[in-house]
Amino acid sequence: MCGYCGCGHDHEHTHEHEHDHAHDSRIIQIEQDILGENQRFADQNRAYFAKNHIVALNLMSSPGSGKTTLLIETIRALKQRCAISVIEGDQQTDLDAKRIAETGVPVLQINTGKACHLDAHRIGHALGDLALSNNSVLFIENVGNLVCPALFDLGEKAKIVILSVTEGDDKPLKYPHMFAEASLMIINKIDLLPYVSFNVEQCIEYAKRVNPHIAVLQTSATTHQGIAPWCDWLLEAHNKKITT
Amino acid sequence: MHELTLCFNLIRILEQTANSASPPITRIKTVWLEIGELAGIDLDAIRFSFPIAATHSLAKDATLKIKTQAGQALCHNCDKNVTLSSLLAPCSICGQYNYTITQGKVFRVIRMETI
Repeated sequence: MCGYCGCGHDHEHTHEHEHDHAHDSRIIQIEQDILGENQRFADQNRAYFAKNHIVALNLMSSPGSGKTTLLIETIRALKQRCAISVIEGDQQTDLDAKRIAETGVPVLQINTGKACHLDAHRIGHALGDLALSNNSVLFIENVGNLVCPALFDLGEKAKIVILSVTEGDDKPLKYPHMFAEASLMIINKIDLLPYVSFNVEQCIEYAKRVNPHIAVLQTSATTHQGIAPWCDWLLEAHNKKITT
Repeated sequence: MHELTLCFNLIRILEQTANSASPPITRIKTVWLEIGELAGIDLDAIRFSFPIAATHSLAKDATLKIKTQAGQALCHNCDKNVTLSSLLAPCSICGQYNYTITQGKVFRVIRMETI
């Protein structure tokens, strides 16, 4: 290696000259978005959904927020009114897919292995495996994680963040990227409000601070409180009245 | 830790670029990135993940140079562009949160130096 400039070039000469290293190194302009590949797959998914009139919704939350239970109650309330399919994302196991399958709707489990989020490429493959009906709703239950999934567009119509009252009302400030990306925040497990110190108004104020346009619903999958307005929101999205 | 995934994406872009270059590239020495302050990407996590993602690639031992892009938002109260250091920051003029982010979410590879 050249001991003068460390350029990796084997040569025997003195270094009184001022070379510009053009003999070895090259600068190559790239100018590419690093998430560009994911974006291309997301655009393909979005075009597929639009062509087939499918409303895809990306459900995101921490682990244990009650996403799957809420989804099961939602499917039970809605499945007579529109066709529903589900993609379940977890690092491991098909436990959630088995629970969803009991409702009778088509479901596909994606195990991300080491990855902490779903990406548009995996969703594209899942769309090939799940024969989705036209004019249907597709729920994509992302890996439980309030950080990473926020960055990966899947081609969905809307991102929905679910926050349960046992997690604390300050989560929108602690994980602002997730709440900034979501069109709707669902405050879940509201039947537990009497037992925890969760200030609903404060939580909504925090969420609107990072995202003034975020819509808010409150639900309990156990008592069914708020399930009807949530179903109305979904049917409105299904009827393409909700722009995101 | 999405930064590791992002670094694998980055390595793929670098190798695709290197493979289509003529004359052939044997090693990537330096990589320049631009990362927005509002992009949701941790710079230290990128610096930590990059060598791991690069281990079996042409970019093994490459130096990473990161330029940051400041966050900016259009405040709808003030009708002005203001600097925004985080998603939690209010408008620096009116102290409110009624704004639209206009800059600071970039995450791209600008160029590389190769041998």
